[in-house]
Amino acid sequence: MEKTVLDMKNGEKAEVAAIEGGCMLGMRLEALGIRSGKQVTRISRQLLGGPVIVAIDGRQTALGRGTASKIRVVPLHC
Amino acid sequence: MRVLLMGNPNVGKSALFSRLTGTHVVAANYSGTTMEFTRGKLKLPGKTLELIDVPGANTLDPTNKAEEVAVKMVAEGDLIVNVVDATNLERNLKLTLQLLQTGKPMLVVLNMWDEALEHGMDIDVAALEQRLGVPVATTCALSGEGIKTLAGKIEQARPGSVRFDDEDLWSVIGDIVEQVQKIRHRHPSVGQALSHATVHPVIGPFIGVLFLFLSFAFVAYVGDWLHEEVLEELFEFIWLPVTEWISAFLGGTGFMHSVLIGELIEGEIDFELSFGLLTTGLFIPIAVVLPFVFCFYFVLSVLEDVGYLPRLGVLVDTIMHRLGLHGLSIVPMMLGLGCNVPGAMAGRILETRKERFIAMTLLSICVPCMAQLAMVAGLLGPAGVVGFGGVFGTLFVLWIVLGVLMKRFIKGETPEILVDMPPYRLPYWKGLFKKVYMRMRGFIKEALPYVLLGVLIVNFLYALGVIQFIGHVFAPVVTTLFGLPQEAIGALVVGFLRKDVAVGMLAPLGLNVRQLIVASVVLVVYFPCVATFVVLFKELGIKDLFKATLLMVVVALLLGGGLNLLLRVVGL
Repeated sequence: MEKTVLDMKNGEKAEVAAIEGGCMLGMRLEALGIRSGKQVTRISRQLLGGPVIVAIDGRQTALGRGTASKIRVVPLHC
Repeated sequence: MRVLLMGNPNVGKSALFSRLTGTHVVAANYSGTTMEFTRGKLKLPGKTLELIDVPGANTLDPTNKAEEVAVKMVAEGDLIVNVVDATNLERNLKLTLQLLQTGKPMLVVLNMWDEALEHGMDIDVAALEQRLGVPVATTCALSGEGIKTLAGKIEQARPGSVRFDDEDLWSVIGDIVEQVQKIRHRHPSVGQALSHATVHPVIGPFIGVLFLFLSFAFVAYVGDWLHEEVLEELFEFIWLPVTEWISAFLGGTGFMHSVLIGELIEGEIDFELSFGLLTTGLFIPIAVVLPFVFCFYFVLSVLEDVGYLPRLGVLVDTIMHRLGLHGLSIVPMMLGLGCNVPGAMAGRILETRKERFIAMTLLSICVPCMAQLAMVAGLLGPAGVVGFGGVFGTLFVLWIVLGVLMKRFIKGETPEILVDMPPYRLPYWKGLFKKVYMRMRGFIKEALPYVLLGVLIVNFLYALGVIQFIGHVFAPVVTTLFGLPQEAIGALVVGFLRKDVAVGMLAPLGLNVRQLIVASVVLVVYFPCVATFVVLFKELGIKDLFKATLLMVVVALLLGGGLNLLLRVVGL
């Protein structure tokens, strides 16, 4: 049941499974606390192709949609 | 001995730096406020150390410019003070462990300690000291709590004792966090709810428009009140008698009189029109421009310290991508409204050459600084809504059109936005006013000499007949193309030095509405002031600066000519 952060619903929680794309993207995301095994919550998605907002450890981060589609997650059911 | 202040972005290094050195550097609630290092002196009992405020870095494997600077600095430091955001321990510890691996003497500072406690986070300081093998201090840099203890601990800094393989980094960090941090409760705070609302796809933009509207209304109304009711009155009551005495002493005429006092308008000194060093030269920067600069920096500083700017960036991201930029480029644009110089410098937070070129070119062509805005607003007063709409509507459309064109024709890439939203914080008022004061002082120090020089040069050039000569040479452009009187060339010449003085020179010419609009727009667009030009040169390099300048000249000629035609057609 893997999907990407872009496909998540607002308010949905998931665990990061993997980050696709280059090593630089992985490092930049890791710096913002997004790496395999972390729990993310989708907060919102801006209209008209705008950024996606996620929360990790209670902190919010804005991601472009290309970036959001490279973060594969496994939804958490609780 | 050289002490480096290092840490992740937006953990409060600059605030701590100001506290430790007693000097003041600009701090704000978003990542990337400091892009270059700042030096200061740290006085300890019996000795003085050199303290360096290093730009924020998340890692020592650089992923951006700030981190490259930070990595270079590590090699040059003797001792590292690692500033850590206590509310975000896990994410911050990566840099901490990487810094410990350098083997340099180190000290860890848990900053924002008050906020961590408020959020129900308990961090066992003694246990952390033991795990890392270096002293740990707790501070709240904004209020100054814990600074003295920190200063006393700096000399106890020592190389850490934690050893690990790179692959195990996160498991080591997880292990440390597990051991030292207990979270008692974590219910969503008011700040978090507000944070959700301001980036909500529908509500967010409404709040954004409301905030911007309130900000501009505040600057316009309070600025105008300070200008008319306070500073203008002060000038009339205190300074006018002094200048009148000097005028009488100089006999009311002659070269010295025209340089110092300027021309008498119907036998009287007119601070707006006389154009002497002691009259208009002081009146423009202090009585007209300063009140608006103050109000603008107050509002901007509140937005900065609260942490709203990155969220505004998220809201405008889609629009900015149409211009070849991403949302965060709203930060240099906003700063540029105060003064183009810090605006252009803030362009460094953008990653690629394409973005920096587009942002800085748009900024210097289409974004008038507060000094210019205040003067243009004063000049356009009689022209009413048509005048304001004509000038600012044109600039806005130009901003969009140029951006869309540059996105198409400038080579390179525009990356997506990727930014941490800082938690909302109530401004720490004492710090905020200090920052506004610093920026005002910066304005006076930068602007006043240029304004005075501008007024001086105007007087000399007129006395020597130079402006009249240039006026003849460029008459076809000024009179035929732009439809302005020949004397307006004086303003265009001075505009290279200082735009507010240039706008001031248009006041006595008795321009009609069409001419006012054309002259104001051309003055904003055709060239940035000298100070901005120097920064553009440093940031863009000579080749790109040449391209940008060419664009400015072409745009000014086309737009000035086009506007003149268009406004004639509609009968202005």
